[in-house]
Amino acid sequence: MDHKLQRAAWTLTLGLGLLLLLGPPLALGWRAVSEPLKLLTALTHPMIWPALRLSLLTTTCTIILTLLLGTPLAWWLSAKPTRLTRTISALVELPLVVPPAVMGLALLDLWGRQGILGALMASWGLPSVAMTPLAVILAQLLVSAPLYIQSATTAFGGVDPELIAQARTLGASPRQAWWHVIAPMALPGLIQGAALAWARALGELGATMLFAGSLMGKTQTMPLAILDAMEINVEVARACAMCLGTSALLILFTMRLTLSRWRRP
Amino acid sequence: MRRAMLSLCLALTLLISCERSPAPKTPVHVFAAASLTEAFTDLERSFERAHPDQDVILSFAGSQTLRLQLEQGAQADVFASANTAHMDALISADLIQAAKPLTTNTLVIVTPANSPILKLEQLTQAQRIVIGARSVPAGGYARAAIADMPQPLRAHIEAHIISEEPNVRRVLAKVLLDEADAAFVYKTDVLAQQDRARLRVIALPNPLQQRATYTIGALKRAPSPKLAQAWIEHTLSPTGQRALKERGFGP
Repeated sequence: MDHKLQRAAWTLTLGLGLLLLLGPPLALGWRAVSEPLKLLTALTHPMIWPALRLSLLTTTCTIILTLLLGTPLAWWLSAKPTRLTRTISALVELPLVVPPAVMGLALLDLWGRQGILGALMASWGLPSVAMTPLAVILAQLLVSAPLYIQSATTAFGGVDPELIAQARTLGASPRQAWWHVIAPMALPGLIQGAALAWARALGELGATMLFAGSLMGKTQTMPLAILDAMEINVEVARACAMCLGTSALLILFTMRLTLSRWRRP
Repeated sequence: MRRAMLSLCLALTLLISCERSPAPKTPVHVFAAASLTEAFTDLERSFERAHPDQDVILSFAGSQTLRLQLEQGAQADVFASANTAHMDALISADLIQAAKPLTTNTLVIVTPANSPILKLEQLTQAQRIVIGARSVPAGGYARAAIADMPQPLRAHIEAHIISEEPNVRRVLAKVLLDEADAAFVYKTDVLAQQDRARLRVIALPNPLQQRATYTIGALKRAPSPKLAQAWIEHTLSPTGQRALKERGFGP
């Protein structure tokens, strides 16, 4: 009896967990797919394509910047664990725990026309960054790069220093050691971090809304389009949401697939 | 450390228990257009003075956002919209019985006070213009005004809109942050700003002028229909209309 009760409680907890976590996205998918005609008509709404294109373009730029700037940073943070690097790595993670709206305001304070750097740039006659597609990228970078840096730092830290030393004694230059030993060993962690960062950038809303505004084709990304569409036509919002959800799912599945292929041989 | 934690807990408990629990008040939930923020906050004070057993809870956002929330089942007693379209949508959705005209507002162009733009024609110098999104009442009125403007002014404005914001206050914020050279907002939004000295208002000439018509109505499913009616009557009463006028509403 006692055993049965335990089992029932266990099943109930699992079921509740799955319902709360998987229920909403499944419901969205079901509502969208159960009325395919409505979904297809909504997908042709003039709002969707510019937003989807902008989201894909900006997140691609964001992820490239994240890899180029985040990888050296993560390497540095993992290589020399001093008080300075520990402090910096905590600060870099700040955007993960602070609401994106805070980051939007922070971006304005740095890059806005009255911002610290923004005012300086304006005095040199440079165009303002805020409210442009570049602002979308900066906002996405700020909130998503920490996910990559966190993951990459752990990955680099996990490479056995003994192996690096062996490579060096076998005559590899530091650069050769990095490319042929360290990078391949850290790669699964880097891929995972990059995929998570990409998905996060795709979903960025709060910072973008404050720092980049919302203009179709220029700064209105998919999440912003969903908000706008909700107030015009819920079907269009649902179609936007399906596009965004599918893109994020694709990124996650590709990541899983790549990682499992990587680990098998 | 432990002692510090204990005293902190104690202090918090004291703080919470110190708050006197007054006689329970009946809440009246009012959903109102963002531009009504200050005027309705004034009215809340006079209403609660007249009805001490009632507690008005105001919620401000773009009218289209409030309409969406109401359509999705949000609990409210009264809805005040900055245009007739969103109200009519709720009436045809059978959520509101009937609406009454509440007040009117005037659309203006606002620029930073130090801007070289002094009149409408000089708007061709503005590189960054912000308006409300299409579904936002202020955005709708702005589009109507722009559509009536002569070329090449109209084409310049349309080509230099850098953002479409979700409510009129966010439009104004872009000018206050110095991110916009010009924006389309209501006269009352500028009056409500404490640092309005930093702003310059350019009136729209008569043929372009858009009269924003505000409407107010009680929800059919209002938890307290009588109170909803009382609030509506209060806003339409001479006291209410005077309060709105003081904030710059009306002709």
